[in-house]
Amino acid sequence: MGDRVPLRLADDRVSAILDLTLQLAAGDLAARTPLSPAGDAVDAIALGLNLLAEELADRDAAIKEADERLEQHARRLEASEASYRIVASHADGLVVVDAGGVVRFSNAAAARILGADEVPGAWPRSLTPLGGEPLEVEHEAAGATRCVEATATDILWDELPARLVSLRDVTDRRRLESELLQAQRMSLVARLAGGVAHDFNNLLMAILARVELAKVTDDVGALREHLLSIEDTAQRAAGLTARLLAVGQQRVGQADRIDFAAALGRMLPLLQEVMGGQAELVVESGPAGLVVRADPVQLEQIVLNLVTNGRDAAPGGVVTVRTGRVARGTRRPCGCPPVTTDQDLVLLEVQDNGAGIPARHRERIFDPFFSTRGSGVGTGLGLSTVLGIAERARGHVCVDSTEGVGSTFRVFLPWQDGVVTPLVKSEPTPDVRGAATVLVVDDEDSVRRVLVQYLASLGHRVLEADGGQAALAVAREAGTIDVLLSDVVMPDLDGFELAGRLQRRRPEMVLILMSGFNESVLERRRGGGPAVQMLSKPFRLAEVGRRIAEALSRRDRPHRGPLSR
Amino acid sequence: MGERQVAAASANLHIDADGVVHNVLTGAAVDLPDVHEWERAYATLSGGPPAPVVVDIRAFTAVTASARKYAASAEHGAAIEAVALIVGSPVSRVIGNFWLGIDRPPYPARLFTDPEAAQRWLVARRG
Repeated sequence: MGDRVPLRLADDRVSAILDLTLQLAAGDLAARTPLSPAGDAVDAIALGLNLLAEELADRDAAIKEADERLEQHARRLEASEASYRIVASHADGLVVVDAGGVVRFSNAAAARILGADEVPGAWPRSLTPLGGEPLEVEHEAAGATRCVEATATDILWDELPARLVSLRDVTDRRRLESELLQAQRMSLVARLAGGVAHDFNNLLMAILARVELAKVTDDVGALREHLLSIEDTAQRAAGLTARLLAVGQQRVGQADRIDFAAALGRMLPLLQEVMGGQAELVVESGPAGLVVRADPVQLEQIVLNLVTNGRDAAPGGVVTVRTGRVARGTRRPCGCPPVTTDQDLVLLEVQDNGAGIPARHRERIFDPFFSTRGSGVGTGLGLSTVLGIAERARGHVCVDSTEGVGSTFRVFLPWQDGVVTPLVKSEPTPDVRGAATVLVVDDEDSVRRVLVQYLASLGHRVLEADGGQAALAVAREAGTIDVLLSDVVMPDLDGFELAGRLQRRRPEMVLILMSGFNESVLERRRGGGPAVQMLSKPFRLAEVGRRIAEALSRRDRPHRGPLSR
Repeated sequence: MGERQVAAASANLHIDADGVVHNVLTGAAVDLPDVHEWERAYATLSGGPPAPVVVDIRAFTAVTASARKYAASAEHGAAIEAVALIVGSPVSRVIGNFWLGIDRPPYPARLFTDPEAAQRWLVARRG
């Protein structure tokens, strides 16, 4: 459309009206024409045009507003469709269940996870989490059992309360987790076995060396020294296996009141041996009366582990062991909370001037199986064992370490008042000699033979069998048997089963079972078996003699529990 | 029945013996507040119920769009039983016709040039 050309008419009012029509035709809906005071027909025409222009402008505005609303609706619809496509194609199953348990919406993944063509109209309760916690259920789908995780969220659906149930097939994830766990266990076992083998080989080495020396010496005194050393080393080997067993079971040892300084003094030769010349050992023992309540074997473990760590951390350096007492209300030397002690404490401090612990390792050093040493060197159990023992004794362990300067481990244990339990118990030695009939059953020939030999030396009549079935056969022929001394784990018939069968024939028979497994394992194996006494391997021969003598002396009295010592 | 007559800013209103409200415009231009004032006056004069109304717009020369549209709304219609518009000048005729044809009130409404004919129509409607 070209430029508007104003019309020039004789009557200006008519001219104005025509001009208005052209303005309106050009799209200027705001154009109006003035009226004259005359109010005549020309004014009426002008007014009519003004009113029409006004109406046209209103309708035009309304159309534009409607267009805009329509466009907004279209955008919302597009967004809604996009959301729907996301929901519909989501890998997780999504189901909307109303308050009556009726499914109001479900996506394709929900049906696939449930192994059905479509989601059932009534939602099963088994797949409805009650609270906000996820629910994991095994669901039979298409002939296979799938592991389905369901979570639920409260929502409004069509303005009514409903639950959005989200389903996820976690079968593969659970399988992978299980496989990973198994792989981790295998890795752990391999590392553990490597470390234990190393430590155990050292102990066997010491024993074999002493045996070699004992075989060629004619000096009775030297022979006795070799034998004592062998015994001591074997005890340490027993301690190693006990520590391994304690890893899987928070075993609470026998708590005695121990004088720490005296115990440390007794350990000195062992500690020197542990050092093996690799580092210098300095012991600064505190005053007497450093009494703690702890298992003496576990206390020894704490010292041994810390000293061994110090030795390894400071080859050619110095490992200093100190003991002392921290009085109630004084500042702890380590600064750990509470900074001021609220009770009297006994302090064991093991300091080395080695390489120190890198900062990145300090938070993990007490984790089980964490080790900065290479694979096959150490078990990574040392510090976690120290921490476990200290915490069970209501104590506390902390470490100060500076790279290039060294580390100081501090163990605080509550100081105890009262009488110290003698380290070597001066129990009256019972008369262990006897004339009972003892059946010894063990599939390990070396163990069985030494037991037979020892019990025979005490005057007992000793029968032997290398397994459970063989023992039953021996028992059928032997007549009266007073004592059964049997291993627990044997290939054909275990000790509990054997004890049960023999006890049915002779209820008064004394039943003593020996095992290297820990008590929790034995409890599971025992089931509802007979009441027996347990002997933990390894044990001293004298312990067997004492047990048998005591058991025979009270044979007519009933046992108090299923597993008694 | 309430007051017999009301003087509004743009009109004089009264009710006659037949119950018909007469709204005679005194101003030449009408805006939305004027229509609101009329509505209150109708209720005052009728005592509440919708009233038959004669609106004399012969003096009319201008009316705003908002006033026009409100006068044709259902909300305003709640106060009115029926309207008889009295027109005379060409301008008032255009306004009246435009209001009936374009704005389309939801209640009965007619144009008259004779006030008596308007009165008769309203009274006759009441039966």
